[in-house]
Amino acid sequence: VQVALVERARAGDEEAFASLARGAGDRLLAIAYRILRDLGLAEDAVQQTLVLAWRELPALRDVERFDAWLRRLLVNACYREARSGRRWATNVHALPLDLINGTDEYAAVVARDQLERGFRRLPPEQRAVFVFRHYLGLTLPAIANELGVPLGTVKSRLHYATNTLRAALEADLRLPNDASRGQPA
Amino acid sequence: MSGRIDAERILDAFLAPESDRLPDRVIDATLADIARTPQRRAMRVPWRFPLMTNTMRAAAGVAIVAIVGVGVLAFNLRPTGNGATGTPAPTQTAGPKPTAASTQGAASTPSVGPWPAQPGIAVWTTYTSQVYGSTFGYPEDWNLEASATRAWQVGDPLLNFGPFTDIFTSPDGDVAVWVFRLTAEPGADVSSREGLGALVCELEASACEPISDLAEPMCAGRAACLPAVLVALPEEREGVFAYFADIETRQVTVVSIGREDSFPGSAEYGGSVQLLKSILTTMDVHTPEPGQVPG
Repeated sequence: VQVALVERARAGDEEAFASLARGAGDRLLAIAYRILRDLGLAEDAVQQTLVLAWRELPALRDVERFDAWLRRLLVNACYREARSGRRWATNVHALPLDLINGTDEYAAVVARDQLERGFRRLPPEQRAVFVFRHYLGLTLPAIANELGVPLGTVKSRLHYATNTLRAALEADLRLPNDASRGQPA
Repeated sequence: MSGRIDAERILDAFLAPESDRLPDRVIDATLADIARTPQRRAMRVPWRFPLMTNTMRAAAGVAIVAIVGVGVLAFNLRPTGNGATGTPAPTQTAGPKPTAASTQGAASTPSVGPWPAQPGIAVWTTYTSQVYGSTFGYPEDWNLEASATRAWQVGDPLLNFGPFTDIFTSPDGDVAVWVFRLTAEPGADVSSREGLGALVCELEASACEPISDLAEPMCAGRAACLPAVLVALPEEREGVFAYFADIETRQVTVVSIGREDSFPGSAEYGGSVQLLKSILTTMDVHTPEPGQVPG
């Protein structure tokens, strides 16, 4: 069904593209939010992506690759948003209450906060690779193919991203004991 | 109290699905934008240019003569500003025979060959465009697919071929190179790479984005380094192109290959980018030498 929609949209059918956009919007937002960590920027990136996709669709050679092509456009839009100079908004998402029921859970909250800070220090290219690997579950060669960069570059970006986040978590490991001293009994 | 952190769980929570629902207002705004946004013409070359039978060639020849008869009358009645001669018949000069037809002002002395071998290209065929007057080379075993029959006009695409382009194709017809010139509007900056980028961006809006990110500085001129730009579009856009200006005449030469760098048919020439660079050498456009500051 999607292939037929893509072919119709490629031929200029706006209704067909609207169906594709509605179908892909949530998935694109999920990826963009995980890269940008800002809902406003993520929504803007998705909107840019969809408009660009409409404009460039006639040049898409293989309609079977529509989803991958869309993700690549999205990542480029995320890069632009990340570098747009707009201040990062503060997005605090509380963990579900059932996770925060003890010291371990408190430590988890603190660790996630550290992880968030560590992630925001990563350049967008490293964030994208990290999200494609750990959220989308793509293999490294698949990531290289989707992002249009050499496999070695993907490995390198993932390595640096992982090291940065690991350092953030390891720093956090020291916190629970210190933090527990300040916890109410 | 373990005090330990389950890293996997933290990571899962960090990347976990949240309320990832794209608001309707974003979809609505997107669809409103789309209604105002025309789709870009595909710049892919046909997979293979159609081969013509003798009968078809004869019929086409009659048609071309008829069109030219009308076209020349109309064409000669108005200035083109593009160096058009009004003579649509192409001339192909086989072999590196020098001619004085080149008007490429980027070089103090026009390059008319013989040109050195390049990856996959041992011998060049010299070609002089009858519409634009420029002389350059294309691989000896390639074919002249079509000659420009008129000069480029405002409204013609930059990243596609048409009657304003000289077109050359590889022996199997899978790769095409097209060349033409446009004349910059008064006031347009053609003396800097940024100005050239803005010019191309203005004329072909869809080229704005890749130009800003992907432009590779080149030098025009045998000894000088006047501004020239090479852009390899992303794979999904399928193509590489270069442009450089004659500052005096304000003519901008555009050279395009409608295949991405990794296209298999370009491999024997070192890829589409290298193939374009090889052809550019016959136009005295080259990558900057060490220490040479482009533009």
